[in-house]
Formats: sequence, structure tokens, C-alpha cells
Amino acid sequence: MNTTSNKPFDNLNVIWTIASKDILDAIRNRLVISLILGLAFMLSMPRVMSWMLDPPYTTVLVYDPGNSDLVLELENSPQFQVSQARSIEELKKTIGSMGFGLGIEVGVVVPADFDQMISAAGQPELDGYVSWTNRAKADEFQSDYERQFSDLLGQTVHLNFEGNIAYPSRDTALLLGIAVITSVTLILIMGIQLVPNLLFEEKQTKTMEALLVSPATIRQVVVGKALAGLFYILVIVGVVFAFYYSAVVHWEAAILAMIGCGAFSVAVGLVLGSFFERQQDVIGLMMLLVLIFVGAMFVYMVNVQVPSFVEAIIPWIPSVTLAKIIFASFLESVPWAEIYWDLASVLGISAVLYAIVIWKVRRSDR
Amino acid sequence: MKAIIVQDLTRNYNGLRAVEGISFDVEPGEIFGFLGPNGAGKTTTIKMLTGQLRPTSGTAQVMGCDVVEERQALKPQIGVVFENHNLYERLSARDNLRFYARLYRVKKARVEEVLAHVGLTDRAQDKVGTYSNGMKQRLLIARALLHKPKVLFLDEPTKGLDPNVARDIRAIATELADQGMTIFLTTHYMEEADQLSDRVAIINQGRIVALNTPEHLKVEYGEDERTTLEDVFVHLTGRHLGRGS
Repeated sequence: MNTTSNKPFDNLNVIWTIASKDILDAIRNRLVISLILGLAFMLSMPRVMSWMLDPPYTTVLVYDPGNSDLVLELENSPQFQVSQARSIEELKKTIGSMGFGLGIEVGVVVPADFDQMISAAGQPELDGYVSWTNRAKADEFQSDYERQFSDLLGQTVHLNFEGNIAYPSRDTALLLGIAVITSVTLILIMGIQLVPNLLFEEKQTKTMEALLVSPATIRQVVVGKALAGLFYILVIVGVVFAFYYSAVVHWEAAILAMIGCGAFSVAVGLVLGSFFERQQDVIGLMMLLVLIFVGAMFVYMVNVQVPSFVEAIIPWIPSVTLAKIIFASFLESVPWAEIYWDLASVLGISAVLYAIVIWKVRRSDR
Repeated sequence: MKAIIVQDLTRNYNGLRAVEGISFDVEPGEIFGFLGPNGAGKTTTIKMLTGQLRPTSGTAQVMGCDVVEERQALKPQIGVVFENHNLYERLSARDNLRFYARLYRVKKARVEEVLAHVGLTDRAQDKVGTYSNGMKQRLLIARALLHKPKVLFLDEPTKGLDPNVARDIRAIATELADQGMTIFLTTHYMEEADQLSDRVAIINQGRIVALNTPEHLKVEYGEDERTTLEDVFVHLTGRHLGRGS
């Protein structure tokens, strides 16, 4: 039988055979399915909460320097609850920090001479702002609010939403920050949990021995497992971004985030899978890693005061750099130089981890 | 060409010698019994001969391939039936074999051939997790035969099996040897080793303490014509079978 060859095609065939077995197995594996369903459940919670807690009125944020009759009418209407902003900047910042179906969806700037325009039987135009996650619904909001405001005043009122998208800023969007922290945490947990499991299972059932007397080399086994792990991670990252689809402004940054998340999660998983034999042996280490990764993100995103040496290290922790890249994909403008640098640092750390795995694997017959 | 040539093979684990300077060779088509108490070095030797473990010193060749330097060339020459049932239990028997068939680049038709050979065609679609030990053992043999190896390593192939299944497994081993396949057999069952093996090596504390045909060993170490291979084994190793070392 012709079974030995060093041709690249044979090499890829072995790697793909190993990877595809695990990918197909994932469909049958209850652990994988339950983790993905759990992830989808956690991500859907804010939306479910917003549907459950949906009040019978609409909250609208207004900036009303002229104390107009419109706002008075809105306050007296059972359909609306009014919240006041002190400036246009505050209004934009507040709307931009909302999204995902939570909080106030629309902000309205009422001109100081609004009442005079109404008295003069004019057709005043108000500036309306929507959160960036609702930017696709701007036309829908416009016609809806125009109709309701006109009904309240008994006179036609125009709303202008064009170009008035309120984007989040890194300093104020706490809700988005929490969403990003949750996403990175879930992606990393999946990598740390699932990828080593691919190797642990082969070791515990001793099928690794059978693989290693087959034409597969240990390197091909590890690369095959890495590919299968990457598939898992990309499915999970895909689920995450599917939930935040409306929030992503820059898909190029999102794709870079996916690459970084995949490379790093798989690398960490492979290190754990190569150095240990059983999941039980690494549970403590896994928890410690998750704690470090999540803690670092909190410190960075929520600006927690920490000693200066910790502050210097934190931006280099991969979970933080990944969070920064994901966050940037939601922003109006992406600081590309910073993002490329962040990605390079994640890939660099991942490369070191892969080198450690290769070193370990080379010694596997000793 | 000899099927297996082992010269002064040694393997240390953390300073302890698991295998100490063993030498032997195996002829093509021979059934070679490799016997020893638990911890004597049988599994370590098999791991070295199948390229899973690097020897500390010494050399070994299987079908002319050096087990360290020509490991990839060695792999298609050997089939291994492991002591443990290391199969993918969530997959069917057919899917298990198809997976390895892809690794060995063997045609799918060969999968059906080996399934028929070991009598598993009717249950080929069932998940391996639902199989009895005997069926799993048959499947392990099918897997090892998939790529038509020249040398088959059987590590305790009948351990824990009921007598009927054990007899079937022994029949398969004899049939393969008759077809010219070299078989390297480890077993705790001395009767089985006596019945199947052309020659046996007895290893104790990492060293080969006897190597000959079962008949010669019984004559050499026995007291009379009633001496069994088990008596020889106990005499040479000082240990009864089934006891841990």
C-alpha cells in the first residue's frame, strides 16, 4: 500500500482528516452543543430582558433650550416619558452609550424658537438622533416620531435623522464595554475549554497511540486539532458577531478581531492540551487564566485604579488587546495604527505559545 | 530480510531501566511470543518497535526501517492491536475504519473487506460505544489490518474475552501468519502463547531471560514431559501470572 509520502498534499490530507473528524464530531458532541447554546443564551439575555421589561411608553431624550410646548405635551402624554439632556453633546453621548434594544433609542433637539415657529404656522424641523445600533432603523423612527409629534401638536412636524447617528465613545459606553468584555470572555473560555479537550480526549481514550502509529505525525495531529479548534472558535465568534451584527460599524476591524481571537484561543488551548493529560488536571489553571483575562479587561475598560506596574502590563494582556480591537469595530472611526499594533501583539504572543507547543510535541517520544 | 531486528535496545525512565539491552530478531511469517510479568518491559518494547517511544540506546529495525530514523516509512509496514480498546466510541465501526482508511489512503472498499474478515459487517453502522469487548477487539484487529501491514503487533489480544471470542481471535492470528504476516504477540495466557508462537522470548525486569521455541524452553527448564510453558515462566521470573510486579 502506498501510504508514505512527504508531498504537501498528503500532509494536508492527514491534517484535514483529523480536523474534519473533530469538526463532524462536534455536531454530535453534547458538550460543544451545550456550550454554544449557553453562549447564545447569555448573549440574548439583554434583548430578552428588554422585551420582558418593555414599558407601555417610549422614553425620548430631549434637549430643549426653549422650554417648548412640544416637550410639555410629550410629558403629559401617556405614550412618552421624557428625559432631559443639558446639551446636544450630552444627548449624543447618552444615545451613543445605549443600544442593543436597551435604554433610550431616540434623542430630539428642539430649537429654542420652536414655539414661535409653530405660532407662525411654520413647519419646524427637529434634529433627531439614533444610537448607532439602530442606524438601519432611522427612516422607520423618522416617520413614526413625525406622526406621533404631529398628532400631539395638531400640526405637521418634521424630524431630520439624516447623518445624526450617535456613536459610542471609548470612555462613556459602559454598556458596550460590558458587552465586549462578555464576548471576549466567552470566546476565551470556549478556547480554553474546548481546544485542550480535543487532545485530552485522544490521550484519555488512548486513541492518540493509534493515531501515532498511523501515518499521522504528532505535528499533524496537533495542527489538525488546532484547525478543528479554530473551527469551534470561529463558530463561537460568528455567534457573538451575529448577536452584535447591528452594532458593528467596521467589519474589517471585526475580521481582525476574529483572527486574533482564533489564533490566541487556539494557542492557549493547545498549550494546555499538550502539557497536561486530563481536563481535571488543568481546571485550576484554566480558572486562573480566565480570572486574569477577565480581570485585566475590567481594569482597562472600567478604568479601575491599580498600581503603576500593573497598569503598564495590562494593555499587553491579549484579552485586553482583543477587547480593544472588538471595541474599535463598533466605533465611528477606528484608530487603525493602534489596532494593527494590538493585533500584532496578540499574534506575537500566540506565535510564542505555538513555538512552546512545537517544542513540547517534539519531545513527546522521549 | 528479517522482519524485526533488535540490538542492545535500552530504555530508561527517569534513571530507571525499563528495558535493558535486549536483542532478538523475528523471521517473516513467524509468530513471536513476547512474555513477561507486569512491568517487565513488554509495552515499552512494543512502543519502541512501533516508533512511539525513542530508545535510550541500541537499535531496532522493523521490515528494514529504523524505528527512530525511518519512523514514517515504518508506519505502513506495521499494524498494532493495542491492549486497551482505543476506538472512537461516538463513531460507528465503519466510520472508525473510514477515518483510518483516509489516513492510510486506503480505498473505502477495503473497509468493507476487513469488516467482513472480522465478522462485523452486520453491526458496522452501530456506534462502537454499544459494542461488547469481543466486538471491540475484532474492530481493533480490523483497524490494524486495514492497510495490509507486514508486521502485526498484538498486545494482549484475548485479555478479558470470553473463550469463544478468544478462540476466534487466535484463529485470525494463525490465519494471518499462514498468509505470511509476521506477528509479535504479548499475552498473559501461557497456553495461548504455547499454542500460537513459533518462538517465545521471556522478559523479566527489562532483560530477556529466555528465547527459544516453546518446546525447547520446556525441555531446557522443565523437570519432565508434563512441564508447561507457565511452569517455565514461573521458574524464570519467580512470579505467578496475574500478580503485579
